[in-house]
Amino acid sequence: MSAFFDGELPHEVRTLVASHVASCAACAEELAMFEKLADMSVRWKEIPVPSRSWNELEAKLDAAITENAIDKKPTPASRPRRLPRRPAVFVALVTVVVVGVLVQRTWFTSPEHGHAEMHIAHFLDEFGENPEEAQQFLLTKFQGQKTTLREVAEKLQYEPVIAKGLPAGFSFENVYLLKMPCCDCSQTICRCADGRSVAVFEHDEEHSVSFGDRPTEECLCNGKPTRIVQIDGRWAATWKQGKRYITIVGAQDREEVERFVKHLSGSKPSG
Amino acid sequence: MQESVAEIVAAAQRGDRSAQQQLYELSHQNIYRLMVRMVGEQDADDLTQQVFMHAFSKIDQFSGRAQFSTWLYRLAVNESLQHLRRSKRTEMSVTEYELADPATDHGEVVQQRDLLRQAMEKLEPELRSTFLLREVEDLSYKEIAEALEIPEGTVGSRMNRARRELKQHLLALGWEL
Repeated sequence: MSAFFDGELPHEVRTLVASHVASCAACAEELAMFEKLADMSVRWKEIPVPSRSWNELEAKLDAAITENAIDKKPTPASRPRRLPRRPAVFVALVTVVVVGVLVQRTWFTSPEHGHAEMHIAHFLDEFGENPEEAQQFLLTKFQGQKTTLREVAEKLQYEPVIAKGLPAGFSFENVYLLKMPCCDCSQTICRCADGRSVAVFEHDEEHSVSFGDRPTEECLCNGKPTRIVQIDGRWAATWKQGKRYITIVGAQDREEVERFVKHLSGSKPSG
Repeated sequence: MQESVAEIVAAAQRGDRSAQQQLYELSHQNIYRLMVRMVGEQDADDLTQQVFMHAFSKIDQFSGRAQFSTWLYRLAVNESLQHLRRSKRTEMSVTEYELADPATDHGEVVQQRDLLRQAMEKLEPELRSTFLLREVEDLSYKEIAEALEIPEGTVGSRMNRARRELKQHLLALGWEL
């Protein structure tokens, strides 16, 4: 009925509905109600708007670009970003790790760092609602290429620790190579038996991953210093493994984070 | 020669600040109007600014497949829904105002407007956004579907639900059909 009222029906269908409405009191009454609601809503088109100048917005935009170019330590006072809930299947595919991969000292102050952080922040914002789009965005922004672990090893000159195997109940789904401004990193998508996915990133970096302004927690997982953060009911975590950092995204709980840390820590990194 | 919106957007994507300003001037009133009805007057101004902050920091992601205004509405609706979730609100806590023009407004009109506002506060945010985009922003179902990233058929069913629920809320508030 709304489609008819709003003129959204094809002509033939509209004619049929109009004919029905002409002889149906209930439908005619409903249309009359729609009309009254529309009349009441018309006034809402007229609303005074505060005269907030462009200059104020421009100043904020400039400040944001400057801020993004500098490494920010996440603070508990920062507003936690609660992302909408999503079905379990898609939650894992997120960029968080990518951020950590890129963390080279010179990169912190480069414009490229600022843009990557913005892209990663966007990815974190989007993955809860649109994980496939978020992953595609990641691949687009960082020239992601679907590949194999062997090719990753050849390209990066080290075999990702995940090549040694996954925790029980997980299988390999896809592997990607991402070209970040400062370096290349691997992203492995692992599928759980219940259909969930977890993304595992490995980055040859001196510095840990940044989760942006989300509140994080430092803890010991399997005796290993780990930084974890909860994003919309799922967990991301990062820890140092030898010379490199491992980051997982999409774990269903802290126990699963511990499982990954324990399993991957037991595998010795190559290179 | 007057630039088309597409040309202005392209310039904005290249970082042209004056183009970004043009886009802001063209659209910030619509976004503010939507925000007032989604989250209330108290937070609308800040959230409107936030929408444009996001828009211009992500403008390179605008593909041009849909209209820029549709994309902007998407950002605005998402921002408002996230704001409502963060504040764990689905109903607006509004220090609402309604302009009354003594020259033209009659008591009945003002009362009806206030009733609709109260009824709208009870509508779940997803239905509220759909209704507002159609009845206030005059978007087509296709544009609403693009903005909300839902099928066109869902737009129609949401409009049905929104209108019927608004009717129930209005009747409960003493509205007479």
